[in-house]
Amino acid sequence: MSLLSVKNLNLSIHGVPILKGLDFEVQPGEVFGIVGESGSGKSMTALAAMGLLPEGAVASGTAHLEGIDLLSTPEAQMCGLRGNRIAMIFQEPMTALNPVKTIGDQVAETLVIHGRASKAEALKIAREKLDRVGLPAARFPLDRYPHELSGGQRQRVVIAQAIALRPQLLIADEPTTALDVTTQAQILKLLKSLVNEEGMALILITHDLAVVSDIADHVAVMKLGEIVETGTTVDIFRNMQHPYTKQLFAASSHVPERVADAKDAPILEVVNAVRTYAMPREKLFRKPPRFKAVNDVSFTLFQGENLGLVGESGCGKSTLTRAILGLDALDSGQIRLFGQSVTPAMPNTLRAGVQVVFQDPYGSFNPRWKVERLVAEPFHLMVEKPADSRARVAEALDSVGMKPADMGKYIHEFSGGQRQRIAIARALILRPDLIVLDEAVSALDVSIRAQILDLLADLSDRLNLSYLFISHDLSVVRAITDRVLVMKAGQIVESGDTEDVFTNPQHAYTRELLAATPRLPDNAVA
Amino acid sequence: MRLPRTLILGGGLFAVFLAAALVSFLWTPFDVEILNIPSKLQKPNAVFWLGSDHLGRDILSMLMVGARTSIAVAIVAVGIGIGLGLPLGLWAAANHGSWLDEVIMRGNDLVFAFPSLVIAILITAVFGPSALNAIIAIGIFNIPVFARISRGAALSIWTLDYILAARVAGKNAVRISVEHILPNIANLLIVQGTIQFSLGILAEAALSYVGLGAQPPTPSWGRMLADSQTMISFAPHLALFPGLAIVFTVLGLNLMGDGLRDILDPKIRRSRR
Repeated sequence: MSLLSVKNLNLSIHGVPILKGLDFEVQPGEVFGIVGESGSGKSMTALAAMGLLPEGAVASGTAHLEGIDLLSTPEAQMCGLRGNRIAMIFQEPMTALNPVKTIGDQVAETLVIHGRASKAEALKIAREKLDRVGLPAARFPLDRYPHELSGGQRQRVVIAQAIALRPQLLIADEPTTALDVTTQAQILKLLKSLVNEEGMALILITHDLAVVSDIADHVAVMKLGEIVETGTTVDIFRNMQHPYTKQLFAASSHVPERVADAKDAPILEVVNAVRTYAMPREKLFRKPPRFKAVNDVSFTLFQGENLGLVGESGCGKSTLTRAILGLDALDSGQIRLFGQSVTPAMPNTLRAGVQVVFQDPYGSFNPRWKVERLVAEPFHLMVEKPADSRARVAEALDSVGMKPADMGKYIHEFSGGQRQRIAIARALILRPDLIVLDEAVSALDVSIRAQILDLLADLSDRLNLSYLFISHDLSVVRAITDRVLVMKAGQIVESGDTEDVFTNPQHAYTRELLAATPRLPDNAVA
Repeated sequence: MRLPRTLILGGGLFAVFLAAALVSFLWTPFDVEILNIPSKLQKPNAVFWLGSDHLGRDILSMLMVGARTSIAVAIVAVGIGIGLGLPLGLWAAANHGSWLDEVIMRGNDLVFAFPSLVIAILITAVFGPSALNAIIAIGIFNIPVFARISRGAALSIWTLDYILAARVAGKNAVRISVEHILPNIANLLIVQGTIQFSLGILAEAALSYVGLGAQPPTPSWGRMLADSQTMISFAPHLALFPGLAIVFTVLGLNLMGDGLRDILDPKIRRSRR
């Protein structure tokens, strides 16, 4: 008998249909993957099962957990079920924990609330659970606070919280999306072992086909509130039926077509760059120790070249980016753009040669400005604003596939992918030689990401642009760069032609990164 | 968009007093500077709608002219607060973590550390009681309020990517503060402005109650209360009406502030839905 059986689940919020006739079953002890892009309703499916739907949501159909219909159970009884028989792991470990309570208290809380243990017993069980998720007592005593832990460690605390009462069903909503690849691999391994050893069922919600193919037994592919295809993971990847599944698969492994035409003319030279930050003072009257965020980094970027910079969070790539953009000064070493020195005081004419696209399509724009003004902002670097500013904004929008009529709109009227196109238009408006792409496609859905990668490849060919492509996502870097640098703890540990580095990594860290990257099955057929 | 009920009610209350103050420039039922002893201490009647005081002056006329004083003092005091506090706050935020930030914010703490009304009394006592000195005294204590709130809000905006984009476009801190930060914190300032406005009216009333605000013969709500104090047993209306005027203006402004926050703060707006 299946553990969770969802039949004809329909959901609408304020009259807008969100889920349409979902049917699926989750067996005890299996990993059930739900894959889809944003807006496909995958998170709402989870929230419906947890009875945590937002205000104005109306659900119909049934969702039986061993005979109990979760949709018709009143809130008071749902409180008894949540955390007890179904538990949930959220995407963002930074906000899923209460910053003012210790990790021990937060794990013990579930046990105490459900009346399963006294405070003292609960703390003992919390200790066991934290040990179980890989946070040993020696390094992670119960009185640690969330801010003392890294993202991956916090996610382990969230998992310990979820498994405290040994629920039958665990729902994980994008549990590794906010994490680095190596951490992601560890968390996925932990989840998999929990399912195997504790006999829980896991619903894994993700946008990443590769993650699902790695650990799920069954997969459901969702699109616009419907399950378009479902089956065992092996079957689905061997024999995709639905065009949408094929499209997702193609987009996940998309390699844009482009011509590698790096010239032998260096644009950007970074020579022995060092940047340090003051750490908290240890003694009142002693100089605070300094942390080397960028430690003796050197590389050269040639005209027309796409150079990748790969590294995990905290490796110093953001610090390096800011130095290259002339926003922060270096402690020692030099950065030269077209042979001229890059500093925060560099002249505007030099500054105009390098532009940037950021990761977050939502935070990249002033919400109170219209698109025309947003895209035209870099004109500030010119001595005077060009007379044909409007025409040039229209041209830039056109070259990224947006309509000139979009100039009069505010940024909230656009989707994430469209915003990223506008960000690229803003970077293009001065026709720079170099664009720094700081995780520019990381926040996008796979199909949108494929389109943006195509756009970037096309622009680089047409306008002879060079890119410094900074990302933690190795598959994307592999798809679009000619040469790659691997950065760890402020240093570049490996560099070389992208294909060489990916097929024959020399440094242990590069090998670790590559091994941790989830991969689509080789025998998959689209 | 539907306006919140608090905004309509609060705005309505405040509008009544604002209208009274504006009308008083053109017309009042009686001239407040002319004494009319024969008709002193009248209860509210057809001639003196809200009664008359011990010198025979019409209470309604005095309230209308008094509203003018209160509102003028509060507007200028809030103006001083925003005019100096906002640039200081933006300046501190732009130099976050530097000694300049420290100096500005610790200076704020210093001003905050003094009980505002006591210092206002001190200032007016030293420089002589007048409406102008009351305005300055109240205004000074508005500076740190606006400096703090604008620095706090600006700091969270400085971390956003569009600020980095503006810096890549070569814009300096002043330009970024004016073009990017200010429009995005304006809603907070408007809300805080209405709250400070009501506090300004209260402070002005308190100062003139102890005789340190606007000087006679200019009527003010606080002094009307003070004058009526000895006669409260046989002429309670003398205290009642200025008291109600203060209560309703302050209530109106606070409700209005709440209502404005509901409209202007997107975070609250979302959770209300």
